Amino acid sequence: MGCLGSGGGVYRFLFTWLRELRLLARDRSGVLLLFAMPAVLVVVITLVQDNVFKDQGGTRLQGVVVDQDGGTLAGELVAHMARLPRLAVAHHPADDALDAAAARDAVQRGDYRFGVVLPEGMSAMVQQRITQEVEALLAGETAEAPFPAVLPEITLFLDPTLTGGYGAAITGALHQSLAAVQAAARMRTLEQALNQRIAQLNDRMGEMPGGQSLPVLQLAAEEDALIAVAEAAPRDILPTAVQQNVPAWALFGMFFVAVPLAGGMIRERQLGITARLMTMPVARLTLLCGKLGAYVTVCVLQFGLILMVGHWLLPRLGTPALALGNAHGALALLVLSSALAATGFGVMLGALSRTHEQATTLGPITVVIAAALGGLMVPVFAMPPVMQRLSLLSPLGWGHDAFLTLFVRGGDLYAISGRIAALLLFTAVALIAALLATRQRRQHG
Amino acid sequence: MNNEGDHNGTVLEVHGLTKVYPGSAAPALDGLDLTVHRGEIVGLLGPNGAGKTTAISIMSTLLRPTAGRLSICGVDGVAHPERVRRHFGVVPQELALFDRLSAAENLTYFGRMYGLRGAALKEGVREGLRLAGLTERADAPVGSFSGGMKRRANLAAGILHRPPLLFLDEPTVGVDAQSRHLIMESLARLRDAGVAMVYTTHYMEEARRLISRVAIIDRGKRLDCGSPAALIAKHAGCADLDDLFLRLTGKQLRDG
Repeated sequence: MGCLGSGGGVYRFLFTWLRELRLLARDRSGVLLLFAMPAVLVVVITLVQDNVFKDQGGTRLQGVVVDQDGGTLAGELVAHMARLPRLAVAHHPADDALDAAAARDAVQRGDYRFGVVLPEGMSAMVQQRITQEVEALLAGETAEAPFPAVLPEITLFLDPTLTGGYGAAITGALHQSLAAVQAAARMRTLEQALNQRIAQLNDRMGEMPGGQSLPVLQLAAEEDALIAVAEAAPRDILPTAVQQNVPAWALFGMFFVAVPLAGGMIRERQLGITARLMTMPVARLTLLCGKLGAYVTVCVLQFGLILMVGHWLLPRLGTPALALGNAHGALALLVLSSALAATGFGVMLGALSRTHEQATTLGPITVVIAAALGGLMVPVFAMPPVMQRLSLLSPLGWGHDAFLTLFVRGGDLYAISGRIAALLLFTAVALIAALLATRQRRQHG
Repeated sequence: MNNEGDHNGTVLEVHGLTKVYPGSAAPALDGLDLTVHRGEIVGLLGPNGAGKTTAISIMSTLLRPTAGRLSICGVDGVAHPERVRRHFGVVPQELALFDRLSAAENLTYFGRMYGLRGAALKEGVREGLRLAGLTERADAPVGSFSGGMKRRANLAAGILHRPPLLFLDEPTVGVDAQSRHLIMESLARLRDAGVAMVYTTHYMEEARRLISRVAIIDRGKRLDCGSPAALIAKHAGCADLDDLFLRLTGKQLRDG
């Protein structure tokens, strides 16, 4: 009676893999969680962050200038600020209804990202000081000249919701404009003073026999930079929100697979299915590989879906398309390594958790923490030093960094080989931990 | 049936089977001896915590014994657990089935894990469904089954590969009278076909109807063993198996 195939590890592996995929396919809410959740996350977060990344390339920050001065320098300052690529300035002259308090309120409300109040008499005071500096210079005196004791003070309001980088950018732009306007005023004043002296000299020389006249000087400040900055390695791919977020949230989705995987393992354990399978002539490694194979397949399909979202859907919503770089073989290996790490983590979670509730609570929290540490939410370089050191422990961080190396830095397999090795080592450690936990549980009945 | 070599009709033989769990002073199983022959159903009776499930777990190679010998169809089950697994089936106390798969899909998958393929697999699944009275509901997901139907499917999953030995751990717990009757009939047919069984139950009437020999165990030790009639006759004043059971194991509650 009976016909038992001998060996047949591949046969059993294949049907364990198919059975696992069939089980997953019949859990509609689970499938929705696995595929729709990361896709929605990628779309929403990329669109939300799109402007943040565009700002780095030139989107203007809206601001208001209340010009209580009305002088030449104030006008020049506002004109210079308006020419800066990062700022868009609404100029309100002194006789306008908008005063300093109203400007502050408007910024506080978020109508503008910043507000600048140019104080009354600013142009006159600055011009007076420059004139004194020039006169002292031409008289050969040192800086002990009787300059005005009180200097004009510009007030700057910043939107309280602005992050540090934007505040610094606005302050820097204001200082850049002030420096340019003051330099121009100094040159203009010096030019006028020197030309006055030349005119006096020409008058005296004209009275002398055969006297010649000296030419009029033109010292107007050059606005064009004399030294240009060129990137040593020009980038073909810009670090857009798409390039950053698509791999980040695809990885997040992959590691989220750990939750249903662990939940399924615990359920099978509680139902006695695991025990039943362990009494059958099938190697545990075969069963494990079948399960891993199914979830690795899900991870790879999930990643493919997210790449399609980045490549086809997001550009239709107004973002740049995802650029995959040129190392497609390295990308395939990285996706596979990431999928193995994610499923290895799921197996470990399933083996270490005693109850379904433990796994479904611990799993998502661990993934979110690992994602935050790994720089999926805030770039690692922007973290405090302690967190930067901790980020080295996050497999999601290893994966994300490797994807950025391929997608943005133009790296190849050699450039990400260390990260791939780390992901595979993590997989091995997770599976060994799962094995030890399972053995420990079996010894205790 | 799939037997390995000639072993004079002895399908299962255990000697001095002992299990001490890590961190526990007292053994959960203490030197159990048991022999089961072809076509024989041996009942393991005992109160909660007596060691029945530990004994079944060791005999079905799920647990390694601390000491003792286990032989199934002449093969050393401690040294070669992978080899002996093809010679027995297990019907666990839990309903060890995939809820989202149909009865046929469950049986097909477990059949494949036993190494069945082709016509043998189809025949095993068909026969399992018929024996469990589930032919009409073969394609319905197990999750939609009643408790009795799940118990019957659980039994079918253990006999797909027509093993010479079957371990049954309380296979009728919590089922209706009709399903219990069908399971009893199915087991009787398997016994008549030569299948040996080790059977744990709390239902004494069930044991009396089905079981050839009874081993009463408590606190890991075998207290007595023999046919129900012989044991009742041996212990004076016992009218039935219930009396005998309480005489040997005491009336103190076992909630642990």
